[in-house]
Amino acid sequence: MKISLMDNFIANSRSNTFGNYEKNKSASAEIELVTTRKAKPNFDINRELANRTFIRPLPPKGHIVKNNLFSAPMNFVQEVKTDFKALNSAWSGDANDHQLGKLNDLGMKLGGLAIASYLFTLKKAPVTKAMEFVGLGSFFASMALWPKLALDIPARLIHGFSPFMRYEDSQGRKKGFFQDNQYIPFDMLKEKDIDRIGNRLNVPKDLPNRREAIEERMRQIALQNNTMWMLTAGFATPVMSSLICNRLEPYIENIHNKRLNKKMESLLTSLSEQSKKFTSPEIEKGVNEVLTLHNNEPITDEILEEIAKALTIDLNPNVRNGVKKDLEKLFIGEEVRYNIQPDDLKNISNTIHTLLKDAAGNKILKENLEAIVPTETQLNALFTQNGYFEKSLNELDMANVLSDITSQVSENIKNNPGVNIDESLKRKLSKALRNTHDNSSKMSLPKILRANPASVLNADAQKIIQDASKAMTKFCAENTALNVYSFNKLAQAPNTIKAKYWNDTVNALVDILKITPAEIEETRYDRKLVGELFNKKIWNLALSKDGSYEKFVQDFSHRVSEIEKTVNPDNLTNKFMSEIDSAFERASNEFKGLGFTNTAQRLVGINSSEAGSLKGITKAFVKDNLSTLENTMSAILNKANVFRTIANDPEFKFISGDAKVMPREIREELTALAEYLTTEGRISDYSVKFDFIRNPNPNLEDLSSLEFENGQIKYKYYNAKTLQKDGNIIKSDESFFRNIMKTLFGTKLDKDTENALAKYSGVKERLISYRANMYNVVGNLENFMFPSHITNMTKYYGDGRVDPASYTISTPKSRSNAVGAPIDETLANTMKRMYNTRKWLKMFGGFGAGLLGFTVLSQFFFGHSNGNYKKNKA
Amino acid sequence: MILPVQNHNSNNLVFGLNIDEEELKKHPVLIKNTLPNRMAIEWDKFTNAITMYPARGLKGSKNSNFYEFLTMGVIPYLTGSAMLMAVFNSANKFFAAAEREKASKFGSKMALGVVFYGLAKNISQNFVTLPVKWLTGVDTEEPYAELKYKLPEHKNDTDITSLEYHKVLESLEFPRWDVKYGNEAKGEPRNIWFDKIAKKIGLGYDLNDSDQDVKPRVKEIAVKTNFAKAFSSYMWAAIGVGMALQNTWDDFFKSATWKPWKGKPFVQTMGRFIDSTFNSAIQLYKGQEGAKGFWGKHSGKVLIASAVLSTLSTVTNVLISRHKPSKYDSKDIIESDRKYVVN
Repeated sequence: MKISLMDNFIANSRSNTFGNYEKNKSASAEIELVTTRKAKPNFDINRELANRTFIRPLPPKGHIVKNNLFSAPMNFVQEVKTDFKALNSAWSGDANDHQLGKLNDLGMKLGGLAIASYLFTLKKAPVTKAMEFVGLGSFFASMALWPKLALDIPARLIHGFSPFMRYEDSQGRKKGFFQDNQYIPFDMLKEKDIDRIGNRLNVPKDLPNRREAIEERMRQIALQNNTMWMLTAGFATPVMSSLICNRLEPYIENIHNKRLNKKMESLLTSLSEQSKKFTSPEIEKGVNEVLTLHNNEPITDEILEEIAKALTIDLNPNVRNGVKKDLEKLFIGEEVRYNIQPDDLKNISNTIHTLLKDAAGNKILKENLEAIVPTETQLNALFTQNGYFEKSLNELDMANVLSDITSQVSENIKNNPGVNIDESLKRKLSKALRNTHDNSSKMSLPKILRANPASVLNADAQKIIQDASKAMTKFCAENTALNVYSFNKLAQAPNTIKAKYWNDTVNALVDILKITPAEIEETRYDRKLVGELFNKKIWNLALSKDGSYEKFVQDFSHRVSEIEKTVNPDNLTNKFMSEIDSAFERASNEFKGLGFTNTAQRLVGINSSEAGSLKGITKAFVKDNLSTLENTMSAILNKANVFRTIANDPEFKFISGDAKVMPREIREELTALAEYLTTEGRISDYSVKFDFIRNPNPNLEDLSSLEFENGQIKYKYYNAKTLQKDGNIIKSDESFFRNIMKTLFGTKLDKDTENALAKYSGVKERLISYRANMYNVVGNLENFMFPSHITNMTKYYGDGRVDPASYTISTPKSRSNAVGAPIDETLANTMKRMYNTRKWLKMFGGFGAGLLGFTVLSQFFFGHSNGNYKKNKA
Repeated sequence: MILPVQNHNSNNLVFGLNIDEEELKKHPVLIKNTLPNRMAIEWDKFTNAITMYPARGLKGSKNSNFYEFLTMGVIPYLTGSAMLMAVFNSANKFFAAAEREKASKFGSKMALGVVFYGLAKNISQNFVTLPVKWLTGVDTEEPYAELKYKLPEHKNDTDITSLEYHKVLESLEFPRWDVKYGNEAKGEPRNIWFDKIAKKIGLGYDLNDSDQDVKPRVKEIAVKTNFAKAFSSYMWAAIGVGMALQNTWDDFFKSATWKPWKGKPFVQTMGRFIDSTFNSAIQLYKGQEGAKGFWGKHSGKVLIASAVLSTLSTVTNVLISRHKPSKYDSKDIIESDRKYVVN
């Protein structure tokens, strides 16, 4: 069949091509050539025909594409060029199949980019935004990497050739060498390459038609690989992509965090200068809109409200109220004045008519009503006579105007004897005229008379407001810069520097405490269980004698000390605070210069007190967030220190002194409460948690030491379960309260803790400061009784020193900041997150690994189903 | 040796497809492009793609061809979609309640996103192919069935045929013009289809060789249509994902049931699904509540506009031809007193 087809083709070619040529050659003399303008000038058809070279097929240019590290960039450039060419051809309508196939891939990538871009706009945190594009990239990377990794590399190693190799045909189209099982351009492979592959495939060297046998094996292996690719890619790509994202996210977070920190530190070095980039035209634009709208209009309360609003976009209502007060003071003065013009009389008369009609109802006839309502002429005479048109009227004048109008009505009644109005109705009518109808949309004569305030929004007034808007624009830019700095450093929001530090430190704590995946799994549903686990771990360390305790303190302190490099409390409490002072002082002075003294006060506070001012709020954000962060970290170290102190001094001589020993049962209760408070220390609970259930009749005789067993405390008396039944809350035991506070915060640091912290002076200082603060503000009994009072008390410095002459202040807020976040909850959240990630990784990492193993192993079964050449050999 | 064609196993024909088997044995047979036919074809291709073709591929059979390889392309699409859903959902049940709820909320939306991606991509192809069909008469999706002969796998292998489904304009380098010629034996004019298209696209009536005039234009239409499909369908797929990720689905997933045997709750779920789909489209357009900045408020509009614009521009491009019909008749432009060379 093949032969006959070929014969036909040659015969046809001869008849159509050579035959015609011979015929044309003999007839060439009769041909009259018509030259066209576009023809080649030196083209000689006869010479070209005589030459015959044109009928030869062009030499093939197809070749195997070499893809290695060096050729990859050029290949990439060529691919991009080909894509653009394909795009152009497709748009013009003359693309080939290969080009259209490539455009489908391009469309898929563009669609993916559209999805990632849209999701980018939905996400708020910078890292999650970036992860949208990482996800897209990893998905396409996985699509390309999976066949390489799971099939191509193993196949190269096992069979000696790549089933995914590519070739470029004579038209420059790059295609998979084995993509079509029934059309494989083996002629592109050199003999020596085929031989090499044959040797690797163990094809006998003496086999007749060895090349064919090798090609057949290659075809078979490549087809099996292609099929395996189709079967596994769908499972592998999403899993691989997710795993890539999972592994990349911490790196992206690190990069983001470092860049953000660098940017923020640079912002702080020239905050005033860099604040210019936060300048927004919104304030001046908004103010100008209001001024244009109300140009030369009487200044009303509503207009002032609008101006104040436009001046204080994004600032709090307290500042807005200050601005409004200043505007009132500047443009209205001590008392509001109003103007009445002759043009207003008609409206006034009509208003009186309506009010009297409504008040009288059907008690006055229509014609009688007309008779008693003062006419425009009457009002004109009245107002002219009293000089109301000539001056601005204050509230006293306005009262006189109203009184005069009422008198005029009375006079009209008197002058019209036919109008029969009794005293009661007269009073009702008078009341109707005076009623202001506050908070009502009803018509009111006093309001109508006050329709035209004397102050006008003229050019001078507008100039003052515009100057204020310039000052406010400048201040808001600086304020935004300050807020950007403090937010990125300290806000409890995703991807801030504090959030990263917090997560890293708590994650590190889980590692340092050697909490195992099994322990995480057991405790993850309940923070109580996490708290118990935490106590167990810390006891274990506190009771160790092999240096584990010191190592824990040092390892954790090392992690905690990262705060100096990242959050940088020094900068926040010194440089940043002085920047806040400078920015607010500058703005305050400027506003004072413009006559906006109230505004200035709302920005910086009154006298030296910043309470309630915007500056106070800005500083409080930093102080509160920083102290919560530092105190939470210190609380963890303090817990270890307390346990170590008890472990080293089970007789509690740090409280009772050397001479006296506290009963064991009391010490056990103190220890149990210490375990409890250092784990679940939540300020809202603190007051109630001191309601600790104890034995009302403790054994006071037993003075033996506390016992420890297998790295844990062994309670002889204290038993929370039995105490639930037999125990009681002893509220009046002040001594117990003072002792627990002393146990937790009021002693010297344990010597082992102190030694371990030698290298971490910053951490140590913060720990001492935390303990002192807790002892002073939380451990102060008076403060519990009178939460917001300033009370005289002994001030403790946290390192054993006391100052009997000093006193300290405690408020609920200061206590809340002192306590920090509850440790069990912090740890439980982290452990839950770790469990979730680990579970997910275990599921899909395991699946991915299994799939990879299965796919790689399958390679060993490829190429073995056809053993014909062995039979031939035999 | 090629075995007689009678050996074709008629069971290979798909239930629901009205194909004249005798004709099929002689030559490729056109299939009417209707939704049921397309579904029957896709089903047949799908069942082969997950059974016969991989089996042949894994054996390394010589009969496995490029059509089978391409048909197997549906496997990664489906397994990949299922896997993507699993990645976002299957571990959630092990999480604590609060995390589970949060993860499931996101996971459900992602799963819906996978479904909407596929639906939007496939449905949106009609936004291109249908206008082209209505305006030019060229159906770029028109399928035909063809019986292929294989080599026997072993000496007792008598079923050596395989049924393949292609589209007439699937390959632009080798369009199957042959199936578009009329059957003269049945009295049809040979150029019946080409005449119709020539008339529709304004090339004129009663052309001597309408096929020669029409082919370049049809090829151009097919190339541009395929490009339009590839380019715009992924943009519509992006809209599908965007819709699935709107907050309007939060309430829906809280009480949705996918179990038809539950009766009324299932019916209610279906009703709410339609409502939520509609609302999600509105939210995609309007932006989510509390969104800030230009992109926060308008990114959905930009996404929708990109898809609409990509479809409109590419479909318009299909309708604009480089192959303009001549405004003059040949007799008007050939000067009888001059001599011409005809190639």
